[in-house]
Amino acid sequence: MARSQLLKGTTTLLILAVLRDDELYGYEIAARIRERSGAFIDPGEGWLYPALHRLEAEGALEATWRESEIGPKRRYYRLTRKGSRMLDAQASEWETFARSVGRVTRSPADA
Amino acid sequence: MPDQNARDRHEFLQRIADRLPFDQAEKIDILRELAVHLSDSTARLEADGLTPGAAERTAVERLGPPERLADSLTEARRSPRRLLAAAGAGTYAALGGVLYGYFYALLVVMGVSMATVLLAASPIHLFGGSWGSLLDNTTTTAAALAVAAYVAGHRLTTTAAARAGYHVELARRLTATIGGGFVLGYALFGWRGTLNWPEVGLLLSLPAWFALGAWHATSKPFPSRRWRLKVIGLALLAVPLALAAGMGQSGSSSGGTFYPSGVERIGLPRPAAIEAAVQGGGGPTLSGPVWVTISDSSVLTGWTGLRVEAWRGVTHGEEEFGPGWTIDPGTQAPFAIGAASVQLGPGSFSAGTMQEPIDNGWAVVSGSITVNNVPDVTLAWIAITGVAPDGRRYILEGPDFMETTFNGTVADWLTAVVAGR
Repeated sequence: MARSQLLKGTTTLLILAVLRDDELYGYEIAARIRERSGAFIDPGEGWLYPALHRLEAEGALEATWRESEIGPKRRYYRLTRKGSRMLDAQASEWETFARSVGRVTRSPADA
Repeated sequence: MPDQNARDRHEFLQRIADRLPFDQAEKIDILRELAVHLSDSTARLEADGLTPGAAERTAVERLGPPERLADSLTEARRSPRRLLAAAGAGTYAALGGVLYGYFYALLVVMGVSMATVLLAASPIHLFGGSWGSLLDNTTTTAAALAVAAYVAGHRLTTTAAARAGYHVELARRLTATIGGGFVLGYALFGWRGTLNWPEVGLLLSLPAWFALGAWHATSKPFPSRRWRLKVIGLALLAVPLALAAGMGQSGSSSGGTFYPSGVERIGLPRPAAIEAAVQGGGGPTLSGPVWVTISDSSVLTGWTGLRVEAWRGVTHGEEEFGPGWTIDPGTQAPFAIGAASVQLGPGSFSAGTMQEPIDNGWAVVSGSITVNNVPDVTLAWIAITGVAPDGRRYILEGPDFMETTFNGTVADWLTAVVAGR
């Protein structure tokens, strides 16, 4: 299965997860996902901004323009309470899903 | 091909800007974020060893085709809340458009009217004519409302589309339909005043002007200088024509009696016996009767079909009580008929504020008729008629003329037309 198809269902979870502890701007979010996934998830950035703007419209994220350490002002995103709840729910759902897939794919001899 | 990747960041951002349906401020916000992303991405790729050109191309490619990204961003930013905001902002913009369009058009029409009259006053005077008055109030108002409807349609569509996150090409069908419905409601029931057919037509065209404005909506600033010049150009063409068409029409609202051309269609002149017995009579007012007093009631013996008739009149030129005021040559029957009754003396008869004595043996033939608020009738000829024993219809009183107007809404007008008044 192509990595991009796996990514489709987890976009929201990945963004919310990297914003759990930090306020980040768009490029940083993509870089953080790439870095944490050991460069396994590096699908290009066309998906990123639509997802960020959708989450903002849904009230899961808040965005503010402010000075960055380098270069021009950047649009920083941070989780709202709704975003935190969404992250918890999606993380739990993902872990259940991953465990279930693992149980199915693991050889009975490994059990 | 529009779905191909852009060559560089400027083309990329330009194509995104062209595709986004939002207002300028929101577009700038999105483009700034993408521009910063491209700078960061390019810098990182250069640090990884790519040449500046290759780094920028790669950064642009990583964001994908600009039109696809713009469409995804547009869809992502849509929400029910935005739709509500769009409805509110669109309504506000439309109301502002109505005020702007109305007063702008009013100023243009009034300005062109006055300029035309000033410029043409001397030549007109030389030829013995007169302008009578400036454009009729209803005509001016309806023309200004047409411009207002156009501006409102344009602004509603542009604003609502941008706020909701839809392209104007999609939004205009909805705004033209819904807004046009509201405008039609206003044209039918909201506007009230004196009316004639051209004005009814102009008012009924308001939804079309609104829809046209919605259809012409673009994301470009409006109203443009070119559009303003178009309105002035149209006024320079239409206003002098309208003034010339109305030249010489006066607006008095008096009534009176004389024998107009075409009177034979109403009936024959009084027979000699009746003429000799007539003591007096009176013409109609809006609330009073038309009547005739006869000193010998026996001359009415055998008369049938006594009634009050109203015939459509027309005016040619401004001369009152003259050949210019005639019964409409195209009409062969009265447009309204009322009952007439005979009151025999002794007693008295009340005609408005006047008391008319009825001596013993006298008779008063009288009746009322409604001639106001009849579509397309501005002059009515009113007479009491009856059928004599010889079987022919005679005029017992009148015809008296009366100037009338239709004062109401377009819906009142149409109802009257359908009812055959």
